[in-house]
This record gives sequence, C-alpha cells and structure tokens, in this order.
Amino acid sequence: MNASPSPFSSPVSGTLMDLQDVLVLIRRGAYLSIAADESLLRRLPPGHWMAGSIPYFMAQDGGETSRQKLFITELPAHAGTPLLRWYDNSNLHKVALDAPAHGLTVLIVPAFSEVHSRFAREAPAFEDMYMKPLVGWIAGVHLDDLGQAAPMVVNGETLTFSSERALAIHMPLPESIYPRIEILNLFRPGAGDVIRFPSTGFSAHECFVNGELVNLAQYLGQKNIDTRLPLVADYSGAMINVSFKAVDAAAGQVDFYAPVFDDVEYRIAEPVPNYAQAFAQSLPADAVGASWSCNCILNYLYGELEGQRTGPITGPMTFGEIAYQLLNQTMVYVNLEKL
Amino acid sequence: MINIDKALLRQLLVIERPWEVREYRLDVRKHRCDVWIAQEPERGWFGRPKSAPVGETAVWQHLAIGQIRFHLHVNIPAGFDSKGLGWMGERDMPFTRALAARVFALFSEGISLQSVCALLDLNLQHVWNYRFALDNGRAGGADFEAPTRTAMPVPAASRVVSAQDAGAVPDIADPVWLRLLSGELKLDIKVLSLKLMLAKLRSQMDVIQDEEVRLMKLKELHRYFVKNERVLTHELNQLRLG
Repeated sequence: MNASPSPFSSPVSGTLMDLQDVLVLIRRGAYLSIAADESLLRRLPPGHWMAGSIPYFMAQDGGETSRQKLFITELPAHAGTPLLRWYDNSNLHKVALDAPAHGLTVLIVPAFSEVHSRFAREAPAFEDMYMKPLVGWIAGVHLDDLGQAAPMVVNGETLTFSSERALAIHMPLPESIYPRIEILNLFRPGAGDVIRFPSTGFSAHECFVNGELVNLAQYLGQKNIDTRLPLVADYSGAMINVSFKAVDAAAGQVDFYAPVFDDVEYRIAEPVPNYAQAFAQSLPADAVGASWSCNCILNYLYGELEGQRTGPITGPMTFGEIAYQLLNQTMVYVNLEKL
Repeated sequence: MINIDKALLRQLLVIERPWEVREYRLDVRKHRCDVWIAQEPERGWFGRPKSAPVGETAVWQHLAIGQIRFHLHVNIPAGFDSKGLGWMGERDMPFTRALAARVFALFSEGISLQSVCALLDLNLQHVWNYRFALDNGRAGGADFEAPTRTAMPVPAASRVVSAQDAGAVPDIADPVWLRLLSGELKLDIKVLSLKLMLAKLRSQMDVIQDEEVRLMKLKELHRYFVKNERVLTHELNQLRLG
C-alpha cells in the first residue's frame, strides 16, 4: 500500500505478476497480500506474506482469469510490525478487538468454512467491529474446481495452509494516516416490493413481501425476477447487497451468498446495463489513489468483466468482500489518507 | 475433600429459605465449586419429606468468593417465578442476575469483553453469549443491583455544546445522541463505518426495551465518535446544528 495517489495506468491497489517477480518481492522482505491459485501459492518461499486462493483478477490490463499469475498488494509496515494471526470459530469474535488502536486489518476467510459462516452472520456484533478499520475477502477456487478443491488461506511466515481458519494481518499505522474504507455498489434498491425475513440465515423458505408471508422461491418465479440482481438494503445510506446463490423451486428454498438478516428491509436491485462502464463512472476521483481493493466474482461473471477495466482500481475478484462485514457484488477499496 | 457446612454455604451465597444447598463439589485446584440447590421438601406426618416437586435444572455461574468460582445447579419447580432473586438467572443465560449485573456495569463503562473476562475471571464464550443477548434485546441490564442503575440521559434544557466546544464531540448527556439513535435526527454521513454502526444500533434499539441496555448502546455510539473524532468533522458539524 502507498499513501500517495498514483496515475490511472499504474494502480497502487496491486499488480498481477509472474511468479519470478513475486519471489523477488518476498526475498526483499516486503509485507504482501497475495491472491492466486493454490498451486502457485504452494511454490512461494516463507516471508512476510498472507494469501488466499482465487484465480480471478481485475488486473492492470483488465479482467483476467489466470492460474499462472499472482495478484500482489504491498502492505504498509512503517508504524510497527504487522501481526499475522489465525482465527477459528473460538476466537473469531476477537478479530476487531485484536486490531491495533490505530491501524488497518486485512482478513482473508476461506469460503464454505464454519468461520466464513460465523463471520457472515455475526460480524456486525463483534466487539469493536466498527471502531477499527477492517477489510478483507473470501478466498475461493476456480469455478471448474468447485466441489473438488477447497479454498485456501495461507500464512506465508510459517507456510501454513488452511481451509478452515481465517487469517488476519493487523497493521499499525502512523497517527497521521487514516485508512478510509469505501464501497462501490452499482446496485440500488428497485421500486418494487419490500422484503423482510423471519430469521437470519444463508437460506430462506418464507419471507414477508410487503408484510404478507409468502414462499420466496415461488415469489421469485411468479414475478420472473432476475436473480443475478441482488437483494439490496439501505444501512443508513450504505447500500448492502445479498446475492442469490440458488433457487430450488421444488423444495421452495432460496440460498444466498451472504446471510439475510431478520432486522433489515430488502428490495430487489435495479438492473445495471453495463458493469464496466458503471464502475468507471461511479468511482469518485480520489479512488485513483486506492491502496487496497477487491471486487466480487459475481460482478466479474454477470458483468462479463474479463478483458474490461473497472476504472483505475485493481484487485482480486473474490467469493465475498469484507468492509467490516461480509458484502456481495460490491467493490471495496481503502484509501490511506493523510490527516 | 474439604467439608463445608451446607447451611454456611447457603448463607455465603445469600440463598434464603425455602431454598437449600443439597450438595456441593469443591475443586480447589480448579478454583471451582459446583453447588446443587433445590427447595426444601414439604414435610408430611412425623416430619417425613413429601416427594420433591418436579422441575428443571438450570445452571448459572454466580459471583465468585475469593478465587473460587461458583456454578449453581438449581432445580426450579414448574411455574416458579425467580424474578428478584440475584442468585438465579434468566433462561439460557450463563450468569446469575447478580453476576450479570456486575458484567453489565463493566460493559457500561466501556470495558472490553476481554478485560471483563480478565477482571471477573469469566469464560470469554459465556461473556460473549451474554453480550449477544443484550444486543438483541434478549437480556436486560442491571435488573438485580438497583444501586448501580443509571437512567437514560435526561434531555438538557439547553444545548450542552457551546461555541467553545466547536470541533468536540457533544457530551453523552446531550439529547442529540438519542435523536440520532432513534432516527429522528438524520445526518448526511460520509464515513462507511458510521453508516453501518448506526444501522446496527438503530435496529438493536428497536428490540431493546431495557433502559440500561439502551443507555449502553448510546454510550457505544458516543465512544465511536470520541475515537473517530478526527475523521467525523462533516458529521459532527451537523450534530452541533442539531
């Protein structure tokens, strides 16, 4: 990460690199956040790095799927030694509490794990959650490998791989630097029905549509709703998505990529005609200096972003984004601002 | 095995008749004492005890005595209302009301989860469960220890923040915090963490009825502003305008 803005052509939120270039950076002792296919991560030497598995990227030259390259973001280490720490279900709720009083935490969570589920459901209630800046992403696999390979998270200092534990890097920052976390969500709640859920969870049978109890799967079918559009909720002005994973009309069940909450009001999103253009147009000017970023694989797929750019920001295209809490179909970026 | 008089143990735990200590197990090495408590059986002819009433057994951790942690296994007759008894707790809660009040008092002072565990020698998971119940309106605050109660801040007759305080976070007693939490006061918010936190706190306030817990939420919001004051200039300027 870097505290100064960079030109459009040279993103500071990270670069897609060949293995040899990454080896040089690791040997130089840099603190790195890495995203790559697991096979490449297993070829890296020990060093100050953390990683998650994913082969989809928004690279400097545009969207790219690659098992031969690694996406690298250099992390700041000028106000104290960053600390790598594993989290499982027993200590996950301390992730924000463990963060430095003034700093930034990056968290990588393996998809489909217990720790993924717990973070998704409970992160908003974790102590100190909104007090200290926390971003991250959900590690995944190539879609061809779904069901055959497990998403991996790696501690480069010990070369430990885990598909069950999340890894955080807690980075102290100088008092003069503020890590401003922003999200860019292309989706806005549509003008349609208000949807609420009777319970929090990754799947739902029933829901309340304008106050009336209905089966969600049937409702989606009857209304012919495009489930590539997420449910959107307004969190005091922040638009937060929950993406549809699967609709089983026969069983009357709908699964999501993030939990729906029982105390939140949702609407189906308005359609977005051109994702790449919308990202480029929606980015505020200061986003050019973003020092860390990730985006969603569903945006990559539904928006057909391969070969296209999303403005100046680069990053892995992940199975879920974290800006304090789990997000879907959203770009997250961090600006290190001078106070 | 160290023997303790059961009547003395009952008195130390401030348990009154008709409840009695039936059994206990003290493990000095583990600093733990399990105590089984039930109502004294009714006596029939010639002082013979009648059969004990059918009930459920609940287990709560109680206030420690010295280094010894007490876990009370209480046989509660069906339909018994335990309200007001400090050595009992709420259903599915880890602590007795007396211990919960102690934990809550520390939370209200902004003491972290970990510090509460360290100060009271409590299991982190149990404290987390209690905190989670508070946040979701499923537990009250200091229902037992009335002297520690603090009412919600009374709206001040005049603005607490003066011109001299420009740039500072309004005092916790300023009515602006309640208006912000209730949604009556709407701000143009630029900082993502504040948007998310405010949404969370507002939904919690919708289900939390206990005044003490609502006050704790208000303090949480105030603490957020104090910690992040330097980046909340835009929002604080609006707060001061009320």
